[in-house]
Amino acid sequence: MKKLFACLLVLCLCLSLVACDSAEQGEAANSGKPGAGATKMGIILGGSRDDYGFNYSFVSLAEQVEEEVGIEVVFKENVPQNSDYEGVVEELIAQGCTIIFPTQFGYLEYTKALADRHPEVAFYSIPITDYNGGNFSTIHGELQEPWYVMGALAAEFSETGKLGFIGSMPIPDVIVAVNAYTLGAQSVKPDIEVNAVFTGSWADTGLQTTSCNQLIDAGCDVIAPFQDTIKTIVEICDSRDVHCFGCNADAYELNPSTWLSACENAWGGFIPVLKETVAGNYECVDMRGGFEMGLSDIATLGDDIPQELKDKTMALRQSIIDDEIHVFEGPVIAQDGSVVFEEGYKPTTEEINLINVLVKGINGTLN
Amino acid sequence: MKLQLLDKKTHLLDHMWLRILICFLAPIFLFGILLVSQGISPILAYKTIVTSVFGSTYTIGEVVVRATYLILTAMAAILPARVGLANAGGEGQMTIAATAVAVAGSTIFAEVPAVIAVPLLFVVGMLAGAAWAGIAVICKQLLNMNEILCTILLNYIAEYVICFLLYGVLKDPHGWNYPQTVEVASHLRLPRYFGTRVTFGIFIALAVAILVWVVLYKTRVGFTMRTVGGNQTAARFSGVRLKRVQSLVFAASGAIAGIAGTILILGVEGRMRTDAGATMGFMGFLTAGMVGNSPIWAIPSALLIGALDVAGNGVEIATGLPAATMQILIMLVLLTIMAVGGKKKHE
Amino acid sequence: MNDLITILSSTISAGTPILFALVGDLIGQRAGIISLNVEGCMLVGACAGFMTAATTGSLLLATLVAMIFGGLLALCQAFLAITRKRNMMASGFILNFFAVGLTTFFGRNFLGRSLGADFTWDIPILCEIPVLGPTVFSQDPLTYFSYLLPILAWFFLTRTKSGLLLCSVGEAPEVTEACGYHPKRIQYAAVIAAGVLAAIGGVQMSTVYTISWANDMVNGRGFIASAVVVLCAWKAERAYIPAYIFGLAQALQVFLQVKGVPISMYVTMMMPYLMTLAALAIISISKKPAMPEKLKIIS
Repeated sequence: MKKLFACLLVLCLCLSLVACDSAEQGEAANSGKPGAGATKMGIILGGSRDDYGFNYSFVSLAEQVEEEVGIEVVFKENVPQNSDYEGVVEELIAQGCTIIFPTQFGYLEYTKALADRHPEVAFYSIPITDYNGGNFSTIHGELQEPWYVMGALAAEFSETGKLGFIGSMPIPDVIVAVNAYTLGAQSVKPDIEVNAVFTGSWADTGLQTTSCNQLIDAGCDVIAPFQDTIKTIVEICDSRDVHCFGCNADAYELNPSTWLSACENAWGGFIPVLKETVAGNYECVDMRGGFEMGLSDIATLGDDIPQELKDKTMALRQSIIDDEIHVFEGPVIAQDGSVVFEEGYKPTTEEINLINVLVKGINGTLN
Repeated sequence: MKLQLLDKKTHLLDHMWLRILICFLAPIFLFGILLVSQGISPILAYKTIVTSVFGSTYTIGEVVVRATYLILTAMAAILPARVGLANAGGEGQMTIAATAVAVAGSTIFAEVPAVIAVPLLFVVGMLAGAAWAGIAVICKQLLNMNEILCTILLNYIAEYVICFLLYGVLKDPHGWNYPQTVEVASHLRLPRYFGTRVTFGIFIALAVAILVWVVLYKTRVGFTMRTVGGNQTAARFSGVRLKRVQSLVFAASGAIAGIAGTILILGVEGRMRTDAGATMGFMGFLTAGMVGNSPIWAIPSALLIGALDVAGNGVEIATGLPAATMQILIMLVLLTIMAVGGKKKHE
Repeated sequence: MNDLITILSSTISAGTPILFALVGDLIGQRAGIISLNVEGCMLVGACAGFMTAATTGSLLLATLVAMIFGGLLALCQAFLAITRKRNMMASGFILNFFAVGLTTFFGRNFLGRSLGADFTWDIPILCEIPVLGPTVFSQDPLTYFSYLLPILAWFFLTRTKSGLLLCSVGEAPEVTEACGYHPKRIQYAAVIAAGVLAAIGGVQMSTVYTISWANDMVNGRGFIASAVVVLCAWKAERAYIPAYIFGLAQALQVFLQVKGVPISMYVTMMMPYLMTLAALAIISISKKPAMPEKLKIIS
């Protein structure tokens, strides 16, 4: 009991320290619009920022924001997708962030509650949702367009006619990616085979190695991961003399000769929106798009790709921008032969996100 | 032995105040070196620690919320430790119970008034937790399998069972295809206080902790349990049915982890996700171990770990250092406490 | 035939890191101390080893550096668990998290670095054998060492005086003390040995198995290794069984998906744990495991 008392005493001491200290916080926003005159933007990540994958793409966002918008960017890493996120955002707001950028789907619900509680703060989230409105906007970079282009590139590049895909968990993004990748590959070689493996974790390097090696043993000579950590897969592919893609970020510098390309979270479409917000002209947006909106793109093409194929890839990208190709335009047939989208139908982003089957031609299972 | 005790009496570390001082200063000093090496002012970091924990009611609430689960999962580890078993499966028991409660709260109890439904949901959670612990009990008692290994493996199995359910049959049809269950009916949620995330759950957690203490140290049952934990042969000779006591206690500890899961869903989460309550079970095991499995000391221990977590968030945001640095800070504090903290109690 | 080679080589590469940590913790547990910190030691070893190997290109040097750092972390565990008599599970947990923090922080600059060296060394003649040649006998020196490790540990624990002394500490330390030895010193040595061996497992994982350094790359393998000591009934010569069961399960987890076997992916993900549980059941029914006396008091 004596020790407990001692601990309490120390606590009181600390509390009195705060009492002298907490008066200095001032109000920032006064134009009334969310995020007006912001000086700090907070990005909340589910992993750590140096994974050369999804979370790494926000480092380039931070660089662009600091350079072009001129506001400070702070990171909070390793935030679990549960209610603890609320506390993290409250702390970010308490430290002066008036623009908050959550990155995972598990944050959506709490972001809604936080947006209601803090009308002066602008929230920008990536996954599509119907929680948005007011000071909660969505910037959804569509994955299907880059992955389609990657599929086409892989099919041209592959010599064995077998492609490997290392997924993590079957969340909508991963399903969209593997389907678009396969459709893209089939657009070049209709009978190409895609082997999909799911590891059940986002960054287990051991399982990545085993998956990669076994896919290569099975004859795949192009590996496309949907994982957070990319480094290991690049190294294994390099040692086995095959080529691989990255995931969600441009990690060309890791190994330019093993690297093919990647689907990249691009921010060209977001920066102008952010500038407006900082200038005090916030508007709630629900942006969904790929190449033409500047929200997702193809990363640097690898050194081993012949120039002719590079041109072809960029031409394909251009024809998607020109709306000549729609990735999930019907007919799209599922593995079991059922029709996902009818002939000639062009599904919306929501419908694409709700696909819960793999398309025909993928060797793998979602169950 | 006596000589050794005498030696210890004169040991420098025996002065309580000195020990507390070391517990505070050593991590501050060591972490300060790290901060300076990264070109960051330690004063800024330490000021943030204080403001991010005691800055407002909300931040104190954050500590309490984390402590709620830690206390309960710590109790789930303490109770079996008293009968000579180890339950490392708080994590699995808690998440399985949370899933069960999320399902029950959004389906069969969705229309039932809160007065009836909430207690029943607690029963559901406790039963689910006890059932998951029951698998380990069966393995232990019928097949003579080692319960530590069983519970650890069952944690992983629980994780994938929940994934299977969340990505499959339990997926919210209106949830944009994301792996989460349907939300629990809003009238079943526990009330929140002071505009923070603190719910009624903290009182339940404290009540459970006190109950565990009373049962262990103030009742005949508790005496029997401690006998079993102390000397199994002696207990058997005095007529205790060893297997029965152990099985019941183990199931009870699963039920306590189940309460943690119930509070998780009805309190702050509202629906089950793959990340809900992640690592809380392991941290609870640590909370209990830090204080030598004492139910009362587990409360400050849980508050401390909660506060360190909250402080770590604040410092990370303020200094811009990677999250790993905060992990170093938190573990430095815990290591120092382990190294110079209170003496090992001999029960 | 090719499938067999695929599975066998995957099994060996996935099982070897666990084998090192397992034998290490087994030695520690025979002396009565559970080193849950082997996870942290593996991580420290993986990080320090990768950094050394990437800068010097020498596997031997990498292993030595990793052993030193793994030993240092184990020293912390030894101090807390033996001298300060703390709950050894809790201190092990804390040291694991501590190691994650340290390695993530200090390994940052090596996340994008390539190793730039291939440590594979085919054993002449033996590597010509079909199936076994390209799998078992065309590995790296650390993996060859791991083949012998359980036998060496068995010889040490049952055939040498120091080994027997170590086991006696785990059974009855007062007897050891009465014979004129220092039980605590022996326990310190055992716990540090556990950390050192686990660190070698870490080096194997980062420099040979995954050829890269990534944050928290051990991801629970050391923890599992520490738990499955039960599965080999505290007998070093049986350490092959749990390690390769786990490796095989991980190999099959991917293999079944690649081959398109219609099994739920969640079942395949659970497989390493289900197979370990099944093995534990089989072993537990057949024989009562010979648990060191000192461990019975703790749990």
